Amino acid sequence: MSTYSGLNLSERHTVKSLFRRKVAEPVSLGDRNQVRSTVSYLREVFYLRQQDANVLPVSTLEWSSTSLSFGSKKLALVDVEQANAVSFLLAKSFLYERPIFAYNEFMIRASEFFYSTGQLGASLLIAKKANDKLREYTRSHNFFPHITRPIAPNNAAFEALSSGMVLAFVTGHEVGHLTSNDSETLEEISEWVKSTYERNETEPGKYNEAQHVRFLKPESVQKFDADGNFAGDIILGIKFRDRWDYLKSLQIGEAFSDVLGLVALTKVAIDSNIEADTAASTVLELLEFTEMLMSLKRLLPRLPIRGVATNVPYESTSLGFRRFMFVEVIEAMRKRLLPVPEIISAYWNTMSEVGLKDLSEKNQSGELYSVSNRTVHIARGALLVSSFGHMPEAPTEELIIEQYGPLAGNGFFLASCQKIPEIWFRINCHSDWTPKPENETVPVGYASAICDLANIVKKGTKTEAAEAVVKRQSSLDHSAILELIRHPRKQVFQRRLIGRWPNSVMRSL
Amino acid sequence: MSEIVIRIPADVAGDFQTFWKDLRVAEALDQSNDLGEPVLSDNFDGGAVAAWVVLITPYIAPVITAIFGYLIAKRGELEIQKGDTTIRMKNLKPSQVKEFLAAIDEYL
Repeated sequence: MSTYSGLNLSERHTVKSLFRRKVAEPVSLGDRNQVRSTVSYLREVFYLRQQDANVLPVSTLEWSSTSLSFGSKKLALVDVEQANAVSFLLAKSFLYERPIFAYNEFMIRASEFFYSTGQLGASLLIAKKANDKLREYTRSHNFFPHITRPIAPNNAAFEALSSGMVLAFVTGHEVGHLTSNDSETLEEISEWVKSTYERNETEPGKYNEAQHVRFLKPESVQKFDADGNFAGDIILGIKFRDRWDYLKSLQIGEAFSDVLGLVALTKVAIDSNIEADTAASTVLELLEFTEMLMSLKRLLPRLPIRGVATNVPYESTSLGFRRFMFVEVIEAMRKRLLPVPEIISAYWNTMSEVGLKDLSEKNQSGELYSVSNRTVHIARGALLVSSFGHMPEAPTEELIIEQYGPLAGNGFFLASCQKIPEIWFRINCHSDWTPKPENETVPVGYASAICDLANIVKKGTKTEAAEAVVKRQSSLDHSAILELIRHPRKQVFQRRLIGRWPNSVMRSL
Repeated sequence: MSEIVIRIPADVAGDFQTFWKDLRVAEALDQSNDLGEPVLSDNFDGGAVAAWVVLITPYIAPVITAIFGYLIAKRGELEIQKGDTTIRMKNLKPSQVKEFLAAIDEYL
């Protein structure tokens, strides 16, 4: 850790203890420069002092950034792998690649996570499953061992992804967590975020006249018995109510950080001549894919294992709110209501009227918000399919109202996951996938990946046996393990199956 | 290094410090064994977490074993090094608790 972080020896030691993750690979010079230039731009624009924005680029197998504060000292650790993970998914989505490739990415990330947290058996079994599915996919076409990988070429999207916008957004967001009222400009933004939240805090209900809280939804918990069978849901209503103000302040903090992330991203977009419409759609998807990866990271250690009863909690998502705020921020920037540099406001004014109108309508109608809950619905659905072997039929509207009464929001929320088509959870049903609005590639990949992950993790004895096999293999060092975990991705990049695993241990799992 | 990392949602950090203090008093340990100011971290997904790095000593070990339930109920977690692997405890499965206690015991 370099000295510019401004921390003393014991604080540095604490950071190292708190951030004990496995390193993915050294941060490349290009990424380092991108992070540095983003931070110095934000310092300049928002008049931040050096000590207010200490940012350290890292690259870890847990692919998520974090910011730490020791009293008044603050440090952000920007994980380049997070930007990479999101960029990969954005590429799959923009180029309309088949779901198997998004599935592959989620499986590899899950495998990396298990490795970083010391569960090597589960990690390698997941890599093996990803590889099996890739082989199955390849066999279903006539070009074995070549991997059929149709894409819809899209130069604008490609330029957007290679410009470093995602890393700039992630860095800006983390800087936002370090600073909230360190300068007058930032204080003004912070006040604007708060007042926008309060103006939009409630909305009329769909089934009654009452005003409902818009951005906070209670947490839900899925229960599984000792045999891994689904055993009902809990909605943490009362417990949730106690944390209301706290959760609200967290959401406001996130939206504030997103404003800084957006300013950073806009700067890169301007420098790389990317159109405002492309940048806007990138941000919308970027927020969702980040949410998917973060929920995946929270879900992995909670997956049911046979032998003991398990509760799987799902924190309510702030994605809907963040997306809502993103549209509001763009509108405010266009009207120059936010104290951001003139070039940033001017850039968003170049966005097409159609694009903006579409975005704004989706936002006001709640469409953007309701679709944002699907990360939770998909995960809940995947665990149901893994437990039942199929998707149980969804309860009817009348039944939900009968059971939950007129304020049946929670009932509808819980039932939503059962409306997801079952084939979303079966990756081998999508070998001949073609783009359709109701069949998006990344959510399908996400759904199938969670279902397969749940199936692997629930066989606790199998993962333990795999762990024992791996431990007997002394030839597996860090780089060898990484090679095994990323083997499926390597084949996708080469568009060709490689017949042999890099290490024979995979054959004995 | 014989350290354990304790993480807990930031809004219950104060309550947790009080709980720790009660345990510390119950074990008749002096004030130097209290938890200091936590390191606060904001994660990308909007979770704010308070964290402490605590040295495992024979005096502190009983206090650590007593906080398991509290941490799990509040969605906190514990993290410890065993050899060169990191073990994190997020649930109360007997096998995990056993593994964790064994790891703590190794340092005593």
